[in-house]
Amino acid sequence: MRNVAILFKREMLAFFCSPIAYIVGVCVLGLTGISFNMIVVILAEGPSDYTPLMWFFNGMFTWIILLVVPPVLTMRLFADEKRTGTIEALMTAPVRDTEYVAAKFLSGLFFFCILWLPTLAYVWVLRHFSQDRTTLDFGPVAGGYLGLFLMGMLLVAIGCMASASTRNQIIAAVLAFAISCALFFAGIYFYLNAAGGNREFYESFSMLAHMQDFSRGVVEWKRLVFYLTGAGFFLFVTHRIVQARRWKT
Amino acid sequence: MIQVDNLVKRYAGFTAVHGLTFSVQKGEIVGFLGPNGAGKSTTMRILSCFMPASSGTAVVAGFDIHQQSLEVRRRIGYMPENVPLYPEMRVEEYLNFRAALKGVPRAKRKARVGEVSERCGIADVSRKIIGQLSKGYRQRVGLADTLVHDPELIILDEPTIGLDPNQIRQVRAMIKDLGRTHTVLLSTHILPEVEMTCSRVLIINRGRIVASDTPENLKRLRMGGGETLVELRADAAQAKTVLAGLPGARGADVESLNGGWCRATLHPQREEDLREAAAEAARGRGWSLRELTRRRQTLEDVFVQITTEDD
Ligand SMILES: Nc1ncnc2c1ncn2[C@@H]1O[C@H](COP(=O)(O)OP(=O)(O)O)[C@@H](O)[C@H]1O
Ligand SMILES: [Mg+2]
Repeated sequence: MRNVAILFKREMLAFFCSPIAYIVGVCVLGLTGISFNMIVVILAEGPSDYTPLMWFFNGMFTWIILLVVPPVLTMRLFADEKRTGTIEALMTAPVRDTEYVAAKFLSGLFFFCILWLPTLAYVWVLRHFSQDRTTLDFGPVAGGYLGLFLMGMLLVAIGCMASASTRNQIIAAVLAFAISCALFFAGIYFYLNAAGGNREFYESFSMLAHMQDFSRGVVEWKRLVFYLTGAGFFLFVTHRIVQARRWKT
Repeated sequence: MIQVDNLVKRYAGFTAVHGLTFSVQKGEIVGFLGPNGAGKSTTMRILSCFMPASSGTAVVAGFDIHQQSLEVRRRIGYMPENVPLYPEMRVEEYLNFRAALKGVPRAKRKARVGEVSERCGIADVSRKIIGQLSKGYRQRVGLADTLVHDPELIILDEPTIGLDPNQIRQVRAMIKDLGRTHTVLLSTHILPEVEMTCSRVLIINRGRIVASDTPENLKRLRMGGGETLVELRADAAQAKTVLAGLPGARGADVESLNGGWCRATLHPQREEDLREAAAEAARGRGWSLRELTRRRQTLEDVFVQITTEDD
């Protein structure tokens, strides 16, 4: 596992050296800023059924970021090593395929988390300046961020799989975006169209419904299981793809 | 150090390597010589455990490449063709990263990186970003990387490709220097390279080894050879009978030139030097002689001959 740390460190360096990371960072700041601004405007209009956290975590901009950013962050991870051939130098050093996949995934997830750090400032501002301290309870804040983290995990894992399956970054990004969107919109579609009894079943894979719970501070075990197994599944496939090179043909 | 047994690699519907069998002893510098597409890179990738063979086995540095690939990889330094590096890293950063990956203990890393940078002549660019280095320097960074964990075996795939003549000379000198302390397997499609750097050559063509010997022996064995070229003023037919009849000669090709001259190519039976006999014969008949040379065969002739033989 020492190798994971070494590879992770290099990946972070690569992230901070790539212009894409900065562009993504600026876009996320901009979008969350607009989102925050809208929340302030809504709050100023008086009481509403939704809490600001629900607006924030389940707002359009958050979903745009969730669906677009992980594919962009992960597209380079595996595809570029193949395109430039650095994979050859890497895998002829004593590195296991699992370590390689783990380091790539963790670096993508870590960077994804860093992108959300600035939004903590909004939370602080709202707490500090609103009269009603209960609008931002600890539970919903933690729940919302946990939701972001879990979804980030799943979406970054999807991105890793897409990146591992091609040497072209653009194809990787488009593929990851397509899979993420399919998951997201299928979740909404079935959830909205499900007849009474099946609702709970369809809810179990609707990210939108999950986020509503998370941002109310409701965290259920089955949600954790869903995201962990989901991420695990896509990482397993990623590992398989990386390993395919080692299959005897 | 390397023991390869009947190695086969098939790509989808295409066999790139057909049953290679060879071995490399400790301390040798072995050149893997073959035209483009011969299967050199494929073989080296298999030996360095980047991908498995379709069938056959190899033992590298005492470990099986399929069963104990991590152990093999700990003990080799492999430089892929075209030397892929991370362009955004600094030279020093990259070498530190590679040293860490290859298990050089933290306490020794700095010293090792300094040592190999010195040895490969990149100490003065260690703070530079790799993406901004010239091809020659990148090649040296790649070499430094293969050395950084002091491997038992160094595998270099076309180490001089894409370099200018000056850089080529430097890299070759470095490889020769490495050969004093390490076992080296390198591939190339450039002949003078193996003649200059290697103690043994394996000529590979279309996935098969067609010759394996020292550069000198190969030259000698294959000398169809060591023909003697004579230009004299004589009747072509007469010259042919006389020259072909010289002791030690296997035959002579003669062509007429302008002004009563003719040029004869004398083939020796084995490796006889026919120059003296030819000169004597010319003097004896009063033929004027204006050229008398013995063709020295280069490895290039051998290479062309061997790799085109079975067409
Ligand atoms: N990944 C691959 N898929 C299919 N064919 C390949 C692949 N890599 C190499 N080849 C083919 O295998 C043959 C040997 O290639 P290679 O080992 O790279 O030759 P060399 O290094 O001697 O020039 C070539 O004909 C090449 O086209
Ligand atoms: Mg090659």
